[in-house]
Amino acid sequence: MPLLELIDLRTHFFTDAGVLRSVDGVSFSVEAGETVGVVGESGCGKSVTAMSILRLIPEPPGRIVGGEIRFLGQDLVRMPIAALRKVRGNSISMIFQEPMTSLNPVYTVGDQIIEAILLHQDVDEDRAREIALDMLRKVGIPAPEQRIDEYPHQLSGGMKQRVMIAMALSCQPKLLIADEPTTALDVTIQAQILELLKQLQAEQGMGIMLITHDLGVVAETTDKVVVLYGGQMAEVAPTSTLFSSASHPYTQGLLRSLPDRAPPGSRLPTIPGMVPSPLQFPTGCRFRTRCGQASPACAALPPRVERGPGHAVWCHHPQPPAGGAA
Amino acid sequence: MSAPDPLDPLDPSAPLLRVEGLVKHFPIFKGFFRRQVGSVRAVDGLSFDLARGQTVAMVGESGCGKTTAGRAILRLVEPDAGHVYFRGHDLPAAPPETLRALRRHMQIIFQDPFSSLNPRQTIAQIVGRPLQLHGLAATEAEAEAQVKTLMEKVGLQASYSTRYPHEFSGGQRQRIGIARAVALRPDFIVCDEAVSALDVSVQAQVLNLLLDLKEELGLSYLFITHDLGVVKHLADEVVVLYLGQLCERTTTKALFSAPRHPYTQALLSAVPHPEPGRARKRVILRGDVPSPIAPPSGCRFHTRCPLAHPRCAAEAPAEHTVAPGHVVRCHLYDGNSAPVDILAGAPNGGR
Repeated sequence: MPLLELIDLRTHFFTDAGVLRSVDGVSFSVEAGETVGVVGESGCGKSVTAMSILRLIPEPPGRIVGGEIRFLGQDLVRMPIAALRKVRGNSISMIFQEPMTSLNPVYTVGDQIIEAILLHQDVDEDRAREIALDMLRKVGIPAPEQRIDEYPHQLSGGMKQRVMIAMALSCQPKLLIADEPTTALDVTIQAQILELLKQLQAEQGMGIMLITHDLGVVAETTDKVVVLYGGQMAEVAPTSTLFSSASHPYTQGLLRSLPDRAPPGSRLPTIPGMVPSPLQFPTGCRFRTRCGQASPACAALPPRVERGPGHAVWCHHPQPPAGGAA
Repeated sequence: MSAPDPLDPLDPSAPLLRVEGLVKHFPIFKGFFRRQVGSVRAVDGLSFDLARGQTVAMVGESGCGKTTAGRAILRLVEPDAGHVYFRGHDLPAAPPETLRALRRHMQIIFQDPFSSLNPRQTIAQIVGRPLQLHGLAATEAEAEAQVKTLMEKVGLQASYSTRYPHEFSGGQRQRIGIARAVALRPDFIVCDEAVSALDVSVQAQVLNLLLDLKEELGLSYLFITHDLGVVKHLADEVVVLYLGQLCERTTTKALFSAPRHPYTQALLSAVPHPEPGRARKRVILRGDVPSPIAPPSGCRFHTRCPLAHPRCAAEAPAEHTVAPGHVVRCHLYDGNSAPVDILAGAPNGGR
């Protein structure tokens, strides 16, 4: 049984301007000890998917209108809110992109970590403080005895993200959802944080769902990749397969447009146009308005096509592996 | 004197732009009497040349002073010391009217396409106003015609010129910012993280546009970015900064194939590559970038450098030329031009 399984998840927002079908049929799974990358551009539904798992979608206007979210066999979508609270921050934790805004500025970092521990573990305050100190030490905060009583503004961006990780992992979650955890950080700090996550994963055996737009981070840290476009599945594949033999025209276009892979100074192959507004998603395959392979058939929902072990693509015209995408 | 004179605009061998010993400190005031208690040493002695038609990338992490350097070069902030030679003038010393006339030739594209366009002006006003101010369009109608040509040039429909910025996506807004920058037919454009806020597929479109415009209009770019993939793709030369000071300056090719400064090596090794399974060694630097208010003594990188030795804390390194056009500010290259590898450890008993 997978740790987490999303089956045809649909989260829509009902606004005055119309219905935003931000997540519309997303299915994938995360195993224990596995890191799954969820990639796509702005508006592809990757963050809404993450928020849906913990049912953090503001309701109204948002609502999970269909599908299942199975966590260790239990359906989180239909779980009563009291039972869900026991899961949140305990067996599933989340870290957000902005360490600057996701810590409360008027409490010390210690207070914030200790609160989470007291809420979910049967320990007294002294023991909770010990656990918090231990976590701060584990995530590489220098002088944790001093830092624990400091306020978020006294810490650098990288330190704050470490505090967030310490908080998220203090209850030894089985699943960690990391939404762009290093996007706001410098590369040398990003390398530290990614290394730290890897090391903690090896120790605690948790599954990680890593949401990012950075294909470099995906290549180096994930086992499996889910590519989303316009709230729908485009492709899922083991990481090395995705980079060597992507078969969705969107994935191929995305990989080709990376400057890292093109000869210096050359014009980069681009995907024409831009991501349409969720109010104006085309019917059928949502990528068809920008796709070079599109045909009239694409006006119908794309079928799921198996391409190999663990590799599937949602497309009417799956492509052979692109040449030159070494 | 046989060396090219940076003040002679007619000397074809002179660089388009020469920056010499640029310094910009921001004072920090405290208390009721606004006493100065210190300063942020954002840029502390930066020198480089930008040749005509070339692109120099300025890279480094947050707080390294790259944005301040870009602004001080254009005199959008007043530099505290140093020279910036451009079109026969030393910009920091240029009188206001000269500077105003020179502004036409040097423009900037900002990172944030959301806050760098006036929300109350139409695209025609945003792009057309500078044309009238600098006398490149005598009448409103003339400006309008030029705006339409410019919009098509940057890949926007000319009929959109009456729209307001909020009606455009991030990528389109960045194109508007580019149209505004090239409207005055400048020689030199500072691109301050111009593609950093864009999605991958849109970023590729905008990079292509910048490359096309460079060729078509003979532009020179100072490209400020933290994205080394972008640097590798479009820069001819690279300047690496750390805490307001130069670490290394060389051609893009040399920088990526044989980086010399320990910081450059660590920076390059930290960048994740979109190639899974690629065998590589990574140096993970300990700690954070120190504050530019109280930068470390000596070499500013010594607190995080795995190869630091006592001299690094005591004495600021000089610029050492290790190969033609390749300058490194590091004691390890004092009297030694052989590459040092932080992955392998120090050659001369450092650490």
